[in-house]
Amino acid sequence: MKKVYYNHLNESVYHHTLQNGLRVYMIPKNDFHKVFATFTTHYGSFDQSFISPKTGKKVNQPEGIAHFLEHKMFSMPDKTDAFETLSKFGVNANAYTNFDRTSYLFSGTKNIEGALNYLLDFVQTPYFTVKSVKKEQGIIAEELRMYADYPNQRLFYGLLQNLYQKHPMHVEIGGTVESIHKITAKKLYDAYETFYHPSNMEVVLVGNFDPDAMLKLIEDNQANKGYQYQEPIKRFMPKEPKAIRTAHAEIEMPVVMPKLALGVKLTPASGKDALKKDIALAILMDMYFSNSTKNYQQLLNSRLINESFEYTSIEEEQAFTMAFFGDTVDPTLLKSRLTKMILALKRQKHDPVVFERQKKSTLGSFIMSLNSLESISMGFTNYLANGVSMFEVPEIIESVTIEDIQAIAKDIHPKRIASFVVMPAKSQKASV
Amino acid sequence: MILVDQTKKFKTVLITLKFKRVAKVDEFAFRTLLPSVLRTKTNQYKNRQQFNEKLESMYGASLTSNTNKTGILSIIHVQLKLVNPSLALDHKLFSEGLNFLKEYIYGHDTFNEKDFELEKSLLIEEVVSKENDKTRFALTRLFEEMCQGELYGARVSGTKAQLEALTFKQFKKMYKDFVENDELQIILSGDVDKKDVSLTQTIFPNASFSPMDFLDYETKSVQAVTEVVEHDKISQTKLNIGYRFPIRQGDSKHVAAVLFNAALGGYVHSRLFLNVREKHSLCYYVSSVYDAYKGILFIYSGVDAKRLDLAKKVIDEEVKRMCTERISEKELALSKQALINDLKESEDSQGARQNLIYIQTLLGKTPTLAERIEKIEQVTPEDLLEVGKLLVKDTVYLLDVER
Repeated sequence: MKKVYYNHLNESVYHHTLQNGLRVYMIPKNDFHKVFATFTTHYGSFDQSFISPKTGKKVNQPEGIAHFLEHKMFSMPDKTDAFETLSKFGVNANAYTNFDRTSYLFSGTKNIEGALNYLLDFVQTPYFTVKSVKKEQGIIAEELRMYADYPNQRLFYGLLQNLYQKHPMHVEIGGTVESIHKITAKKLYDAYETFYHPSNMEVVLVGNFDPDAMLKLIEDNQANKGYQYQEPIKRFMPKEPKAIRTAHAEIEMPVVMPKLALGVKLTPASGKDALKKDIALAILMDMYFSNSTKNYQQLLNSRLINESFEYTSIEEEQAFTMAFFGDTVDPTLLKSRLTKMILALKRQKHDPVVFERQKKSTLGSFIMSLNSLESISMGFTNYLANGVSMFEVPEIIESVTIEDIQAIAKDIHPKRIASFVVMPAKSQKASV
Repeated sequence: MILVDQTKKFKTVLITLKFKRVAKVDEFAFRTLLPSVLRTKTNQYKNRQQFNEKLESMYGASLTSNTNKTGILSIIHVQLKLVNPSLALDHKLFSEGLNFLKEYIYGHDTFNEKDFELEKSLLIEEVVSKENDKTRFALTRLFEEMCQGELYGARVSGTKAQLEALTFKQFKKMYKDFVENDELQIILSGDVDKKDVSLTQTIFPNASFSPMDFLDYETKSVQAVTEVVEHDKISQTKLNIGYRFPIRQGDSKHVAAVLFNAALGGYVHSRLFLNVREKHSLCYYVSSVYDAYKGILFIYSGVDAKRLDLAKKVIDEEVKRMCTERISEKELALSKQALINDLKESEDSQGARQNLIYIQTLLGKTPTLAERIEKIEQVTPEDLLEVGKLLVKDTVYLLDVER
């Protein structure tokens, strides 16, 4: 087992890869009561198309299947519910599906060994029947309908749909009520057998435990499960053109004020470079749109934005996006003002004082995020997707230069800006 | 007195100011608006930009402020979160933070009417847009209907009408009253030492701490269950049910009431979740919450609109079973375990620890973690039946799809 100590942050990471390919990362923090455990597969809503290792044939699957599979993993062959069993250990269990991964997790203050053993066991026990799939379709359809009522969710995906033509990013992680009805037990097994092999998975433990004892527990648990070597999975991502799908679209919902989303499609990178670009974009946006900037003040004073205004960088595999969201009385005017401000970045001469201040602020915010076991655990898994250990991030922040910021600003193209608007449904017009 | 939670566990230092007074409905609008107006400018920071630049230069320190109701109190919380100065290698950071907070609250020889009007309309927009969150909106409506005429039924952030009616002149007068009459309580948390505490006392000589019973005893006797139905363009019906549950924090039955709620709908092992959501697939979320400052319990759920009647029936049955049938030791043990786990977990959160210390000190009771766990262990299935007898259904609020 390898141990790396990060002096400046006073954190240690233990790492070991098991014989069956499962990667284990442990971050002991013994002044906490809690342990936060995650068991993650690199399988998310992006992975709809792949070569089945069993048959060697290409498989195309319905939208939303990774999320559906996550739900179904909790049904056990003995008719028990894994969620319920975990809660009997006295731990809080959860699971989530992202674009590129599915995580099963629990946090607790006692029975950690038992709960961890069970976490590994239940995720490695697929059990899908025709009947249980049908029942789950009802539950997930209800979940999707609930999301359909969330204007911010519609806004987010609406923007991505306008920006991306082929990239699966424009598809909701949960799929649609229609697509999930195409899911069958057989399809779930196909996905499971491909993506839930230990070599495509990792365990991350953070909190109060002894690393040696935990590693032994995981090794013993995996020893007798008979996993055979599996080749790296071949996945297919459709090739995304540089051009956007459409510059603008609108829908109506029962909201009180119009909502605008505006995004810029940028050139993606991969691995550590992508992470550095992501940080550089975040600093760039802070320099020109944070609440200490002229742009922000102008938009606020002309009453085009309010507290809901936010911006973010969205960095995913083969996709890199600059995005703005906000409620506004005049989406058309806000859109044109924001677009002007964004395009002005291309020829902007950047002030080193502002740059350094925002870099310092980015660093501080990162250190603050190390406060909870949960955010360390989530963050750690997240940065691993870029091949980076979370505690190296401060160095990457330090390494960002004004030239990096400039390069991103130059990548902004007027034809690659899209917007999406949620308008109040007729009967709901706001009176403000 | 400054409350201190000294610990090296976290990477941040929290400086929390709490301004408290007994809540009055006609002051809600002012108290909600105040923190944002204070940010627009101070004597030292001439505008919002300068103010926010200062925060950024303190390693992205975050200043959060909000106003809420805790029992009968209205509390304005102001919290500055700093990177632990030793990690930022900047030892002036703590005193810089204190002085910044002082300037934020007290550095206002004048206010600007334009700033006031802007913040006011921004807040009105926020209040109105909160109605977009239908789950939350349906809960607010439940409390308004159930607790008509009680403090609890009033919207804490003030209504649109209350905000619109607030004038600049009134605002200035109320600010003066706030500075003079709110009690300032301060809590420090993180890697702080004695020097930091005395520096805090020097910079805020007006900080004090007087314990008080802040619980909300207002209630009514329920003659018949009120049912309110409203419609909206939504795809899922929100079904909320409110009960009077006249047991409050510190009552001898309090811990049993907490466990009653835990077994009914507080957790994923609870009956509502298992029977309404899992067994019958009637809804996506269903939970119960017990408010021990007020003595009420409520169930909130998002229900498949087509099966609303069945959902209502199943929820009623589950509540009835809790109140009339003795729960097994085994089932109760699950809730105890979950609750104890929560207590321990909250020791790992800097914010939760601060809240706990604050509430405990306010009530003048500071049991240790071990003592609190022991109290939970002592509760019996009979205790749950006893508290169940006190539960009275008051109001059903439905935000339904358009039919």
